[in-house]
Amino acid sequence: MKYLRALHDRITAIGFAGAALSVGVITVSFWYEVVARYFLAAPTVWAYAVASYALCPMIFLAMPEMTRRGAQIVIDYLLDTLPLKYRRPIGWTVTLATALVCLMGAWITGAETWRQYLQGIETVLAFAVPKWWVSIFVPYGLLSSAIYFFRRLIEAPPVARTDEAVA
Amino acid sequence: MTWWMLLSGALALLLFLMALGVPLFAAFLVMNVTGVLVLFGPAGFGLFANSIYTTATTSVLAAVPLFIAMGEIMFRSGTMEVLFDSLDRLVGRFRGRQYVVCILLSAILGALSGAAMAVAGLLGRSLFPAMRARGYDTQFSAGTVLAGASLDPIIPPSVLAILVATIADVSTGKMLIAGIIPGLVLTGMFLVYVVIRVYFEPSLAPDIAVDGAQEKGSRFAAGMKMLPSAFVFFMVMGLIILGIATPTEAAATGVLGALLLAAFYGRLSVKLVTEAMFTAATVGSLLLVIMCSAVMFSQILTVTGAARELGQVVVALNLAPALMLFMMMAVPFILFMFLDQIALMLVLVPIYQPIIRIYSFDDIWFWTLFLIVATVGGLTPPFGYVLFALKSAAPDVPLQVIYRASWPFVWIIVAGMALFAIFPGLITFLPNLTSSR
Repeated sequence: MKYLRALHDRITAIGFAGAALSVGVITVSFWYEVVARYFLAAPTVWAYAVASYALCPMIFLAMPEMTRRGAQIVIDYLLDTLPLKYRRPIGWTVTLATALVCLMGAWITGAETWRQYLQGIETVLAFAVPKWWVSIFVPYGLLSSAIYFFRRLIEAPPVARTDEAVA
Repeated sequence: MTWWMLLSGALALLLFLMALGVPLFAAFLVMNVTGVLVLFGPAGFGLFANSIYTTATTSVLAAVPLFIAMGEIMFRSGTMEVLFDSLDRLVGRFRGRQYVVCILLSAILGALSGAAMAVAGLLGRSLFPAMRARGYDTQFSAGTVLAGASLDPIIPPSVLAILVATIADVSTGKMLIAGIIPGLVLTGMFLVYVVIRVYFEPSLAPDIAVDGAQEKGSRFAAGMKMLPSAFVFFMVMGLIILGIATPTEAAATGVLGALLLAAFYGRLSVKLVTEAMFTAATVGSLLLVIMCSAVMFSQILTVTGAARELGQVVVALNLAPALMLFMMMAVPFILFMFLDQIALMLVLVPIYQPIIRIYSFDDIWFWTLFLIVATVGGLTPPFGYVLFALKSAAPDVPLQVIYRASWPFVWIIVAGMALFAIFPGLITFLPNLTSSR
């Protein structure tokens, strides 16, 4: 289990580096487009497409890392006003619900990506690539986040342990 | 099921999930998956998946991480220290001068980055403690930091403006340009207020003799030192206004400008670039994953006919345009006090779109006013993000003091909005001059 957790974290870290790299790809694509259009009078057909495609992995490769850090945006002030004995089970239930929602989202988007792969669907931009090359990052981000939410459930049970309660 | 039952049911579900502490992206996912299931059954899941894909590959949204990267490079390159020293010299010696420096510095930082929280945190850690140490009033100093930071989403480049323009489907370039004059007018209003307050209440600021201001170098030299930062602003807004670059391209050229500036100040390094890219991916992902999850909501509104029916109800109300505008701004003004800016924008924009068409409000004018209301939302107690950013930067200052500090500036912004509503040209003049996309 410990090995699997470490592997999951490692994949997430690599994915996060990929997200940062995607920002670089977007930046350089647009630089090239501006130079090509205004200095070389030869606009590219690929710069906008590449930037668009790179945005998807930027969002969804970084998503699991955000979930691991517990950084996803939450409005938690109502929950924070509750006593700990209520807050903990509610928080646990919310985490479970979020994990299931992410899992369902991963299943829906994964099924669509699979369909795109089977039918050989391509993107509609001028610089076309198989659509699943881009869309596959969506189910990855949601699935990996779902796993983090499930991990959080195991690591923080809904009821305080005896030693915590005494403390 | 009638349209209003669907609409109110969806909103109630969303609010309930948010109140429970469900992450915003997941709350939108639940609402939209439920909506798709109710309306289309599992056959609609493809629509849902494609809605996420389409949003995640919208090239205009690439400007969001790029503007964040640009701001990050600027903050880490030592630009702020140079700007502060130059402004400190340029402003001159008079009672309450640090309040003026604070607001001017914030306005300039707003032109170099697009996130109010970042600027509030930055000033809260640097200028705010220095002002208190010099004997400036804590509450009023906090107010000027908050007010200054609130200018950042209005003065371009602005991440919030990009998001509003994308959701509302209006020209991103015009939306960015539209913020220039309101940002400058609000800066002027803040400055007038600060100077008048200090004039009538001298105890708010220390005597000039103990202010610690030093006359270092000439004013001309101080002004010249600010020119490199102006270059970055030109690389973004100049290129948009001149029609050379689209907003997204301009965001990338802004990153280039920021990198050149970092090299100019001798701070350019692989570490700086890497950290900026990681920060851009972090903040960009957090914001855009919510958008990806939520965009389906506007499609559901259209499919159910809720948007059309709501429009008919509004027509039947037959309200005067001014009253309708007031209501359309008052609702988010109150809701932004309690709800996340992005989440509320994603819900309200598709509801507002048909009403704007019915009343023939100018798109850019209306959404700029809306952007300003969203900005105020970060400043209004009890849950404004900017307030918490300052609190985390200055933990010894009680939250009550920060709350009290923000209100005068909130009302100044509201007064500014009334001005922009009465004189729409203040917003529409510059966008109408350009051919920006």
